[in-house]
Amino acid sequence: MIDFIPLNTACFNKNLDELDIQLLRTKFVNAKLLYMSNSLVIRIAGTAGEGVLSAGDMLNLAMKRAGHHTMLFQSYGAEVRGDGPSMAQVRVSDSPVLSHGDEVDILIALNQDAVSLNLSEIKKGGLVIYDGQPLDTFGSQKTFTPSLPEGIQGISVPLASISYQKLNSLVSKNLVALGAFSAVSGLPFEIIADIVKARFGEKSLSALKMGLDNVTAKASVTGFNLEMRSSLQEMLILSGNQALSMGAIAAGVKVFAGYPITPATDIMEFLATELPKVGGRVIQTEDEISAVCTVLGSSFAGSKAMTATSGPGLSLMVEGIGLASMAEVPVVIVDVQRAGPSTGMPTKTEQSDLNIAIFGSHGDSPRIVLAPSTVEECFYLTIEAFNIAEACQTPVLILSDQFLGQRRETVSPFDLSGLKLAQRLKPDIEELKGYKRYRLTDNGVSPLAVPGMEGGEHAATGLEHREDGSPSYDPDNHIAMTAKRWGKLELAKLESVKPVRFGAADALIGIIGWGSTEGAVREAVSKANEVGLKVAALYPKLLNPLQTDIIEDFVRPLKKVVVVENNYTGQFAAVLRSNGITCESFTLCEGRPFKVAEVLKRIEESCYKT
Amino acid sequence: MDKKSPMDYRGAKPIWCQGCGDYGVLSCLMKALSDLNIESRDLALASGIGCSSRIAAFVKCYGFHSIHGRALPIAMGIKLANPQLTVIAAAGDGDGLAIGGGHLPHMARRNMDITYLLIDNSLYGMTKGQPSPTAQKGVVSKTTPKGSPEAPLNPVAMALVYGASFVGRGFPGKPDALVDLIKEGISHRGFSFLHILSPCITFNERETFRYYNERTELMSTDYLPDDRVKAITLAMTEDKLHLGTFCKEERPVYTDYGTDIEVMERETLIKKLYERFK
Repeated sequence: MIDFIPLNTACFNKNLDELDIQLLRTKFVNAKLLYMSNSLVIRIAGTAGEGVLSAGDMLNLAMKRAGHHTMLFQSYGAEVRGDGPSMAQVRVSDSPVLSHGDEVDILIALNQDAVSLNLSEIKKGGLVIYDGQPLDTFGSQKTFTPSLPEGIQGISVPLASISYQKLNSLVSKNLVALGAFSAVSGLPFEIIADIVKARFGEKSLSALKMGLDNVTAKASVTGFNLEMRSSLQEMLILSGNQALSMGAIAAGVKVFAGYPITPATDIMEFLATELPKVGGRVIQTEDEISAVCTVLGSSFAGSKAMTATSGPGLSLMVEGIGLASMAEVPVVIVDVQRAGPSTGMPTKTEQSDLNIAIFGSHGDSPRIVLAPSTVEECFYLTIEAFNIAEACQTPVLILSDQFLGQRRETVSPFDLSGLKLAQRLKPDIEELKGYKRYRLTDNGVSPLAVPGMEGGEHAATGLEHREDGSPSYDPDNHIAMTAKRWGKLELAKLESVKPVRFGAADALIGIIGWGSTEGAVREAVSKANEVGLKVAALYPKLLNPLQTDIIEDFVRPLKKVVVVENNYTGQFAAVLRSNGITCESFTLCEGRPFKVAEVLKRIEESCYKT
Repeated sequence: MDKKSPMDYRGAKPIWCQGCGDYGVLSCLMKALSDLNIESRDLALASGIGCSSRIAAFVKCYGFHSIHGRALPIAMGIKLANPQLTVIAAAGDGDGLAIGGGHLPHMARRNMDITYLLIDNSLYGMTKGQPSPTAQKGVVSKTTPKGSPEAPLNPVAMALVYGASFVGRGFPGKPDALVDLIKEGISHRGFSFLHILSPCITFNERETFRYYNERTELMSTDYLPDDRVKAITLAMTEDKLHLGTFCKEERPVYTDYGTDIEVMERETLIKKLYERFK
């Protein structure tokens, strides 16, 4: 008996004009089995500057246009150009792709080193497209024959020679390779040609064509048919950062302030073009402190406002987060996590900012933390973040990461019809007579006047204050106001999106995870269930406050709980333990996402040891 | 619209020491606001941390008493969200030139339409008298027992070099000129930097009312604030501290940019975006 709950969540909120705080209802749509039966993994590998990422991007889009579900995962160095290996991995399947793929079916190596670097990850029965006639640094042709293990087939295509000798430049190597891939795999040439033409113009097609013509034999790799299908034409290819930006637009964000930082910059770049089209503004500030304070100011003035950053920027923002807690200003802060601490590994994925997200800032400063798992959830949870921020008048943090933010996958167009946006509670005319900004209420939410409202004048402040906003050091007042601020978290706990459970209904082993690890865990759990292992997993989307009752219900029948996360210390496991949940920690801290096999192995070990 | 009186802008009762220069700044600000007939509901005043920053609660308006050094970005956020509001930022010399000093050049080059009151007492009053970025070299305090080895900043010269489109100086000991300066600063469309000398009567034995009364003089009526280089020279060579407008320049403000775009519904935009990502 397998109980699957789908990825697709949508937020449906009631309007909060009245004091009724029924804010967030999650609707689960189209319950269907999520299990990947058949997939193909293609990796393009090379050096920064060889066009690895752009080739991956085009291949991914071509796959979707050919009717396949896809996911594109990128791994690259911090240097945009110059030495340093980079790779783009496209996984395609008949059903939604859950993770980036453990092993490679087809490797497209743009240079010699890319073969040896990636050889260990090629599946038996796999294929390598390599450059058998590379050019040395003086431009003269060499020959290269990689020693491939038995069972791995090699196809030589003179990528550099074609690109350099026929086209007078090495920059087309990636296009030659894509052409060759089309010939080898059966991916319809016209689809990839259309994409290349739209991106680089008509003249680039010759490189693609020469790659195609150079390969005569079609290889059969895994039996996965890459020919054109008619499905999925309405689906989109989006990155997590793009979906998140679109979610912010759908939620009605009016001001975005940010400072460029990998891997979050895409969000500011996307919104810089799009937000003005709906009357919003994007400003690139002088630092992240300015960014967070700017969004606080904009929200104070009545606009929905957001900033996005990565770890180092979040470190600078924590004082502003404390101010938002204290002054009760609704703001949304996105952290696309990267490997830390300090500068860390800027282009590599990690989930190590949970502690700062939940606890960062001095004093008892309540905030809400949400973690999407998929590109689609980046859209819906961003809307939810704005809704909770507005309803609870608190800062809301969204924890994405490099893997989720920069991967591109097929998603359905979003369901906009049922979306309701929470409005902040505004004072009525009665309330504005002798207005008290921080009036104590049953649920802690006080009507919030914005500039322009007659009678609503007040001073928002980071000082502890009485109901009218005036500073106070009175102990009873401090207790009452602290309780008021924390009380609002209870509201979020009740009304926010609920944890997602999947796997065996009669599970004895449980996995708890958060954020971008969900896909690999889904695959691992379904494989484990298939062989009869009684495993289930729970993915809370709301990481602070925790919906402990739901987590306890999940944990109660289990013999063992393993918390899976992409960091060194097991930050979420520690949070769960402090909430009374007994659990083991399974962590990965290599700057890359989990492989399905790694999770599966841990599940098996847990089962045998139990 | 009723004619306003300064008392219409009375907020919470100030908590400054008796005789503090900030009382004079507050009364000049209230007079300027009433002369300009600005509605309280359309006025936002953001401040940082320090004695003078408490001013955000002492004026009836939408005040935001924020965190140390961040008056300017808070004010910027308010202006971006609602350019119709009159937005004032207030900060002390420690707040605005030390911890928050990094925001000043950028607000100036953006020409954000904010009036910035830099209320300068040359020390940290709230922590009992440590030297600030405008303290004179050699000043002895508990953190500089042998005298501060650091040279003071010249706020007016800095603002001029940063390109602030309006730069002036005022002193509540000469209130009429300060009221005029604040009015001119608020009326100026662009970033107005007002360096306001406000003696601390509790911890500062040097920069007192008497000291500034002797060392300030009103800008000559012959002086035309239309030449930035001349203004910088004046700010860097003056024997007496001049009160009035050093430089004034009309140029587009930040929020003028990007307004020529056709605005559509959110849902329309999202559906258009679908086409790009298919």
